[in-house]
Amino acid sequence: MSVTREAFIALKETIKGISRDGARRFGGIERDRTSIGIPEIDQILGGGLLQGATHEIMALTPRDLSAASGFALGLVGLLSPRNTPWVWIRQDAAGQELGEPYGPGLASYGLNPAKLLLVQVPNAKEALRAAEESLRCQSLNVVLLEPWGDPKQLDLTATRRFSLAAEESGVTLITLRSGGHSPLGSARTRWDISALPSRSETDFELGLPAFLGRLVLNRQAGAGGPGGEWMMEWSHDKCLFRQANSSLNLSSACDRPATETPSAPALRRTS
Amino acid sequence: MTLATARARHPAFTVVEHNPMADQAFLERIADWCERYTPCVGLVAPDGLALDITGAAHLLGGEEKLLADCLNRLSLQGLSVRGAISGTAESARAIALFGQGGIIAPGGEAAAALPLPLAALGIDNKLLKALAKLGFKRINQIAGQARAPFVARFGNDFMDRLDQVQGLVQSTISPRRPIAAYVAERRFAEPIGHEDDIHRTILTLAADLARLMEKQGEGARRLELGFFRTDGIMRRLEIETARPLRDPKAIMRLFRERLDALADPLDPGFGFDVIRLSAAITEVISIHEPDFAGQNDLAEDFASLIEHLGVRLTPARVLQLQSEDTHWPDRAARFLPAQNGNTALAADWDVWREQDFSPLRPIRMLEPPEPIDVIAEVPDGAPIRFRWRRVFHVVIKAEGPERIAPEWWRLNGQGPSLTRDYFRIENEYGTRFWIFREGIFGRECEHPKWFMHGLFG
Repeated sequence: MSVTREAFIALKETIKGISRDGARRFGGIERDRTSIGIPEIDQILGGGLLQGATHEIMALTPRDLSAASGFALGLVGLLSPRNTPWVWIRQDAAGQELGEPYGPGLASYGLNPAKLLLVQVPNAKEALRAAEESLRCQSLNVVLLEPWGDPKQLDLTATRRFSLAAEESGVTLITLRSGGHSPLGSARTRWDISALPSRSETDFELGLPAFLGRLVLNRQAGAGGPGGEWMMEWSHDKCLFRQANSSLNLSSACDRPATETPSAPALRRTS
Repeated sequence: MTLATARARHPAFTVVEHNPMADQAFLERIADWCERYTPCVGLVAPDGLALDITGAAHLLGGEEKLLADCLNRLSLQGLSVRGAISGTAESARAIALFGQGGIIAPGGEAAAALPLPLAALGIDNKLLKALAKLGFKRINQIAGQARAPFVARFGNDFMDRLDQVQGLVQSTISPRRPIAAYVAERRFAEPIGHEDDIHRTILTLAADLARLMEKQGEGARRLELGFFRTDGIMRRLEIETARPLRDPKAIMRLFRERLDALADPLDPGFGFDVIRLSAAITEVISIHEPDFAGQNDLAEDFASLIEHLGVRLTPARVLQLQSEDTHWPDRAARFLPAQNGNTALAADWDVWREQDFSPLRPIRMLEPPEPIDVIAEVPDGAPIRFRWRRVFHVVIKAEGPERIAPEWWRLNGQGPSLTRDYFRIENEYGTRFWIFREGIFGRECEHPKWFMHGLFG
């Protein structure tokens, strides 16, 4: 054994460098994670929502669009500290259909409207460009991208570029797929969101914003991690989600039991 | 000659109505192109241009060469032009139009003006006729005379004009556009048109400009790039920055973005022979050392993001929210272009929040509010069911009303003047809405209307 001590240390350093780089590139194992606030979900996600990655929010039906907005903004609230700027890129069609962000509303939702940079883009192509540009900006924590429908530009190449940019900078991309259904190629998690009646004592008041969130894709801990379905409430005061499983206070008029599969309400017609 | 006579003589005439606007636009275009010689170009209505070439002639190798170059290029564009260089714009105009043209040596203006007809003064026809009646036809007939009778009869302006044409008093050319504080330009013997060449040129120009601005400790807030085509067309591109900018690479990137985003691409035609970069608005750069956490770098990073997005999408699409001190929901938040330097927005979004209550305001607002059909308890109860965008919703929970009266101190007979009763609604499906009834039944109106105003998360 004539390996000198120096050579040995150098070799060790090299291996360390390779593995760190490899992790950065392929696994993202050392990335920070943000807790959702519900221990069960955090555990399934392997410690929380992965930062520097793409997460996709879809509305189960058109009626759930505002709930999906609410859930996406909740994630923004989780990921972005109050004094950090955040970016909302929305396509004009989404603004016309669902309305523009409302400052006092965002504030009462627990976000900081003063730090919002709203980017209004005319079409999907510009939306993608703006998103990629924003993802390269180190001073952000989270970018909310809201394209409208299923633009053909949002293909595997585009989403792969997002992932690389996000990994590089550590900025998290939340794509809110208003009016869209075809899934993104490279999202780490995908959530199907539907509206959920809020819990309150009487019919004369509303409770905290509630959602039924179904984790349909979980690539956080590796390929094909477990999914699940939870009833969640957004606690705007603490800027955390919390479980709303107790159907105790649910409105009696809610005809849907908590365990019902989410595909059923999608088929039900509005009367 | 009347049109009828002319037509009788030459039946093949085409007659086009005089279009002063088009003439003016054409003159402006030529003026733009003439900025290749000097940044100070003034219009002399209806068909002339005055160029202030003070300190600019040597760049083209002297006044003779400049004049020859200018006249040559303009006539190659198919224009018939006459030009002269003289001490005052009026003198140059008179000599170009009524004299031999060419260059008048300093001090020679008066002598050159003497043989010219009075029409060279550029005074109106009535005055000209009045002078002709008195027998005055040429400048030399008046130049030597006593001033007082002429002033008394024809006014001070007339004599001032005479002095200016003779070069006895200084006159100024009022430029069409503000003159930039810093200018860098490149001239090419062989016109360029290739994209790479153009990009390289912009980078070198930006470096030149940066050197100039650095001496004064300034940076540019608005930059202008002028492309002068050989065939007399000039194209101008402008960018605005979110902070005083000096870094050549950053300037280059912004212009590249701008060039990429052009709706009608830059057409080099037969090539550009002059490219000029100027800083139209500048500000002093305050230099910060980044602290150890790199905080300044982050702010810089964000400003450059705003800039890039603004250049690509126009600044009006890159917005920040500003809170307004009002209770009226429509006006409570305002979007302002992020570029205008209001990065330090007041963060006083003090909204009443309590732990276990739902948010009071929606996260998204429909602007303008959308009318909905509502079945509600009369006269002023909560809605029971409603139809919005052709879909029926059954109201399960309703919180309200929250009565919001308009700002009467702002109303002057316009804008909404009815009180609104807002309800926070949850439908059978769990979707939450913000709707309002406009007008108080019986007091303000007989049939209050309902509107959808916002969506809760």
